[in-house]
Amino acid sequence: MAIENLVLTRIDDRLIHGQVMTAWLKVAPASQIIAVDDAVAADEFLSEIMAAAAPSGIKVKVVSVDQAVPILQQPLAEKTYLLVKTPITLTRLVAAGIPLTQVNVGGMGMNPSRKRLYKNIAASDEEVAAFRQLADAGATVSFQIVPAERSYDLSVVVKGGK
Amino acid sequence: MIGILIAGHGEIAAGVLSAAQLILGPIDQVETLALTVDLAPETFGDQVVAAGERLDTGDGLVILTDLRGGTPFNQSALATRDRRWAVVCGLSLPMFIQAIESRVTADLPDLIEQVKAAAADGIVSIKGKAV
Repeated sequence: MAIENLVLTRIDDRLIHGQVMTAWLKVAPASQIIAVDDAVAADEFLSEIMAAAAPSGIKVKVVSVDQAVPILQQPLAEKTYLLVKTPITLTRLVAAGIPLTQVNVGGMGMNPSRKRLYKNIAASDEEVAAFRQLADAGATVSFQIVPAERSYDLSVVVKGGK
Repeated sequence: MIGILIAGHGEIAAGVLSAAQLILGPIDQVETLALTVDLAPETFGDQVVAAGERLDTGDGLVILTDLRGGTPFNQSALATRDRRWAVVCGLSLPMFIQAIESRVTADLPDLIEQVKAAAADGIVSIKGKAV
């Protein structure tokens, strides 16, 4: 069921974040990053910053949800990371028929609509509901900021999660 | 004259400025910004814009940052939009000293190329016999 060559699906509201990305690439090598975000994809300047933020040698594609669906419906040609800013983007992909088996939650900063869940990861009620939807759809949702630390399942981080 | 903002994680920016002052004496039209754990990326971005507007006196601004893809780099890059500002990443003492030297004569595009070349040229290794 898993998408061929999809190495990591990660939620991080900074999308490509310097050293964090480098640390993940060491434990789970990939040569391509697909960042899915409607707002960033619509903005050429933001897309350019994303590409410049990635480690050398890593291809970066910034696409909208609509553009991501046909790309993810086929096996990926090379080892790929899928990056999104919020779990809501992932529920939109799942609703479009994209199967997700593993979701890593790595960075969701505090804002007025969010409550702290785990370390510096915070989520709004809507985002917690999205985590549950992903779990209901068969994905393992785990919280882990960097590969060197332990991973915690959604059920541990959110009471009543599964 | 082109303004210079040094932006980085922790005290690296202030450290590079202090090191350059040791060699060159007092330096004008320069500020430093430190990203700390309690600072949200957007707040740091606001600080970049505020400092940049103080430092840009009409000839533009160069922002030197430490880590590609890190928050100082990302937020500085965002701040350059629609402005005569540029970001160069890979902060080092040779890079900063070159920026101070270049801005006397060069315009912003030339300064960018000169500081990148100086930073690359500053990397060298010497191996002991037992290596």
